[in-house]
Amino acid sequence: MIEIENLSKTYRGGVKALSNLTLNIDTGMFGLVGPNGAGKTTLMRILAGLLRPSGGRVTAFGHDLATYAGRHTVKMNLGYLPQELGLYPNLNAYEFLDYMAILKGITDAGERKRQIGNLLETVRLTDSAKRPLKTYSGGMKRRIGIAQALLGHPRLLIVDEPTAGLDPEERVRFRNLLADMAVERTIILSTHIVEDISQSCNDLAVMRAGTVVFRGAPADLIQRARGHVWTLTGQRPAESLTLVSTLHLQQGVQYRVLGDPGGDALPAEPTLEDGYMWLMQSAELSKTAK
Amino acid sequence: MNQLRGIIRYELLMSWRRRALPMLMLTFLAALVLIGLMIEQVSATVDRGVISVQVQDGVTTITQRIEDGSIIEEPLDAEAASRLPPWMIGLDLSQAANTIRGINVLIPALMVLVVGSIPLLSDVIPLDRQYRIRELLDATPLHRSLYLIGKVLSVWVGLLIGLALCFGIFQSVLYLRYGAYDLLPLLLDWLVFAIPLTLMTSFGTLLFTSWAGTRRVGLLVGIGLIPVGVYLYFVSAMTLSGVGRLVNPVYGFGTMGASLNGINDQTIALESVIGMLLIYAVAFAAVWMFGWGVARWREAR
Repeated sequence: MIEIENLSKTYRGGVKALSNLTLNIDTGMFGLVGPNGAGKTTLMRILAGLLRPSGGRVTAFGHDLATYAGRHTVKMNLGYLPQELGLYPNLNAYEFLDYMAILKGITDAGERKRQIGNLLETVRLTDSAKRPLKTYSGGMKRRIGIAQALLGHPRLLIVDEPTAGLDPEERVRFRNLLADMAVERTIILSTHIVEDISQSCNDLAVMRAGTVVFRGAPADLIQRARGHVWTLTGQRPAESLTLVSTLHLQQGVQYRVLGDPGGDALPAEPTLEDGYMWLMQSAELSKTAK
Repeated sequence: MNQLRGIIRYELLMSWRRRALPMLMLTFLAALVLIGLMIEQVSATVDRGVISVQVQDGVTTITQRIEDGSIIEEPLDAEAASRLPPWMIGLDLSQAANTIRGINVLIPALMVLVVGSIPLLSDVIPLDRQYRIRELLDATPLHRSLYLIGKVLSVWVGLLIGLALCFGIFQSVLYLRYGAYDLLPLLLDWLVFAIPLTLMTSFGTLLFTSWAGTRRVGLLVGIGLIPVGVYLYFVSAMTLSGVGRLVNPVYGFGTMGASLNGINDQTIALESVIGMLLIYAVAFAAVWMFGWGVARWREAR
């Protein structure tokens, strides 16, 4: 259980990344979505004990992250995959994972070997395990990042854009892997890919400008867009409507829009992406109104 | 301890694969060879003439090489014997000359090692930032001090292994080229002068470049540190390079500007060696505080 109370973070130069954010996260998969600059990465870095907040309080499994002991305990139970993943180019995958396992406190050499073997199998890199990491493609590096995050069976897994750079098959595999693991641990998944959230998370928060603008189940977010999603074929929608997608069909161009276009528009079944777009549009409108 | 062992092991491996350490040691070996060849002509005159002076049952015997190259051994009369400097009695001058040659090759070659090590080691910590690996490391339960200690120890272990190998090669070449020599004064110079100087230089380089965000900035800082390293080298050379005189005053010859005639008057001041090593210890502590302080400052930001 992670409890976040009135969390704020202001960087040097006065850039406010988080503003009085309050959030409780339980065991299971938790999705975090929001536009660039919403504060997702800042929040995740604070939860991983990498950044000190400017104000507020964060506890993870009862340990206060404001103290060294608290951060140390949380890091003992943490798997972390940063957005910008760095690797040692001169080590091979096995050596890198072994090094990370040692740093994570897995002292038994046999246990390390067993875990690394299993994880390499899980991320399908067993055959490339002895190749230097500098020869890996972007997707392979991402998979090694995923493997290192899973070392030591962490109770808390924080993954920032984990599926970026993965091919569709790998993305689905990784999503399923996370979903399986979420039974007994807390997994915080931050992503721009709304589909990843809709397929794996039963709880999510949408962030915007350093605060949480939605918290609930994906179905609730979808529900918000119900009655506001329309499809139009042929005529281009008015500028005032939010265009979600454009599809070229035999009978003409089909537009999917948020709002009420009237005329020949047909109501459509909303998706999580529609719900997210509707929420963002509403938030923007209320900000403009203020 | 497991974390520390892991850091040392993998940092050593990476340093080997980056070729920084082998390059440094090869440079040092090349310097030893070149300087050896350069001073060969100068020191060739030292091992001609008197080979040894022995006193047995009150009779002083002198062994000399004469002009045609043959060796003669003859007793000295009491007056001639009294004029000989005491350090010469019982000393195999041929061995001593070879030892002095070794010491005199080592001292300038160390300058090359010091100057070469600073830029080659200046990227050890900045590289972690350049590779963007620090975020992963910071998310592990690894204490920042342990990370710094691990980095320093990995470089030290690498340098000690390298220096030991160089010493082995150096003394083998010395023996094969010139014959027997006195191991102890050479070893003393290696242990008291070469190793502390190298460790101090690498330690300072690592910690003073620890704040740099990229390899290039680290390298620039390292280049800026070279004059400090050269200063440290000269101060150390003045104090520590003549440590062989603890074995026999003759091993001060050629070091610290000592001349053959003045050897009798010069004895090594043990206090100055200990004093210099204490200064090293204080400098180690100061540099450590700097590196640790920078790390804390970065963490607090």
